[in-house]
Amino acid sequence: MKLKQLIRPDRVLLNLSARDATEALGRVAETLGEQLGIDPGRILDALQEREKLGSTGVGDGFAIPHCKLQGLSEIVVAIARFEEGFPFASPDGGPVRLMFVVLSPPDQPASHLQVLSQIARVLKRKELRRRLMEAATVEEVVEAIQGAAEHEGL
Amino acid sequence: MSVTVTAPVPVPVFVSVTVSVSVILPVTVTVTVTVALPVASSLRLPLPLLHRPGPGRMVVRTGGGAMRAIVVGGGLVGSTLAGKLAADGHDIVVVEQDRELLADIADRLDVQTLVGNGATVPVLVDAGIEGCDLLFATTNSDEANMVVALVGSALFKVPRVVARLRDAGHQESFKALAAEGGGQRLAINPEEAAVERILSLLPVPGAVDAVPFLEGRILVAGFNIEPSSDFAGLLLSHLRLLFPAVPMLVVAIRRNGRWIVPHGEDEITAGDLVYFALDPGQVDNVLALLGRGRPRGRKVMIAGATRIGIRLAEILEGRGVPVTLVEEHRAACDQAAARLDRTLVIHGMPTDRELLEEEGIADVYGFVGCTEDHEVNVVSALLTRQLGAGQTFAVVDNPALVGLVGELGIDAIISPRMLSVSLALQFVRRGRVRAVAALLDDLVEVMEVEASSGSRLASGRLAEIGLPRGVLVAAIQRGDRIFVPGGGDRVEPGDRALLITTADAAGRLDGFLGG
Repeated sequence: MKLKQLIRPDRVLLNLSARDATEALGRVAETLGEQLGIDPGRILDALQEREKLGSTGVGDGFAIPHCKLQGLSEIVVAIARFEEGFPFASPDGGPVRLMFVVLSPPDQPASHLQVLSQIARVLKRKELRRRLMEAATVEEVVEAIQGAAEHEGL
Repeated sequence: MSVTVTAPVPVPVFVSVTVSVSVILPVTVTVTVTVALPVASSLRLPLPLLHRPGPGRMVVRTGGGAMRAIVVGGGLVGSTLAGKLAADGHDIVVVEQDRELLADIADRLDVQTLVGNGATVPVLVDAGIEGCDLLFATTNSDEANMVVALVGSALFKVPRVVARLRDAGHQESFKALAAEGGGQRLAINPEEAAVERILSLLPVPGAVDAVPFLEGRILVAGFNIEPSSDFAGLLLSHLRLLFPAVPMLVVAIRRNGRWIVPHGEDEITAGDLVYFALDPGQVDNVLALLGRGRPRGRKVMIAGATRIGIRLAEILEGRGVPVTLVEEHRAACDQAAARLDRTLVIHGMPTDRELLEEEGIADVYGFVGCTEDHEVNVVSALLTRQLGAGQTFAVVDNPALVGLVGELGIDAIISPRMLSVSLALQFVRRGRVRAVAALLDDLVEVMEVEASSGSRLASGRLAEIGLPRGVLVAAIQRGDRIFVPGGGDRVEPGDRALLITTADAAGRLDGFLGG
């Protein structure tokens, strides 16, 4: 499973606002729930359940919230950027402003891990982190990720 | 008889040696004597001066927890063991008949050497068997090892005796001997150890090494990271992201021939050999990230109706695994066929491509090269790999070849002799350490330790107890729970801890655990 194939412009959400992590995850759950025909409450619950096992924050304003969800037929990746950062229990203690949200069908554990690994790896790239934070349009975000994935051989 | 004492310090004129002497019987007295010994670069001392004890049973200890050991046999097992024990700070005398072999050992290792037949009483006495703590019989001959063990156990009451014994009959005799007198006795069967290792590797395709710890609830397994693997480029801290609820961590990395016990923000890179400590239930997920699937077939093909081959076939067929055994010699084929029930025994060479293809090598789950000829094992493992076998193993005792495993493209090299060394070390450290395994080329060790109430390991937060550098606490088992600790966690009395140490830190760790 390749990250590149999973990035879709309609799942890149910019200029969101949220006061805390729950609200932020709720915003994403709402949009994805609508797109996928799944109850947003169920998505939010599953994401929060996963956060309880340990924060998915990876530092520098980024987090990769994820969960497995019944009723999906394929892996869904969404990117959500917020106007202001919010506390997220990240390893560096800083607020989170940009999330890669991953929802996976429970019967694809291997692909789920591969996608998470690929996101974590592209996010190591400083240049990508800067571009994602500064991108003015959805297209710029998609392009930046595709470029970084290419660079990492993903 | 010439005895060479290898000086631990090269040039200085005097070295101070502290000798604590505990005399047991009639009363226990502990005397600490500090002696100044002249040290030259090639010091020759009559051994009895140092080793012959006075009346009663005497335990001479130098430094903290150092023991005196005699290793009979200077082959691969004896010399490797002696080297490791010496590195741990113990006083070692290696007894060997072959002068050349012994000269080489004296050159390479910080041990004393003695030329002679170790299966004779006078030679053992000269080596200091009276009052020694450990005796290892590691020659190539079961009979010689039995004699050494017998003399050490029955005549000199050496507290701990290890004998390398291949033959089941000898092992029985040794067991009877162990039951008779006091002390701890261990018989090591290299072939049995190899079979056990192969059986622990088979369920973990692609692993170079796989050793279960903490009652099988943690698997320490090594994998080569290909550029296409989803582990390549991953930070170690990301593993927590991917596996939040189960133990999963990297305990050691071999990169460009050097071992790293990783910390914090290290990264896995392509070409690394990475050792994980993981929940065995996660093997399939790890395989997915490695970019490797499970082999399709179930059949295991074994080359060589050797002790290892036949025993392996026996166990596998007992588990309902279809087995094919390829053997070059007709007589050995007949013997194997008579002993095995369901195994298909085939007369032929394991390097015969046509034969392998006829037997459906492309669909086998695993191939094990365990003939007497270790080069044939390597070649046939390479060939079967190329022909599509799911995993390939080769039994090889040559350390130079063992180091090449990654480059060769064989999944795992099994060295019965190195496994014997591991087992002997495990025995030496018994008490504080429940299990020890050396990773691949012996430079990193994994040990399972039970923390007692007075132990330093359980004296505070991990970040504050002064663990030696190069030591990592990989996992803690507390009751039913197993977790990966952080610096703020502590080991509590009664816990079991899985420790990773580089070989050069093993001695310091031993001191730490003992002190």
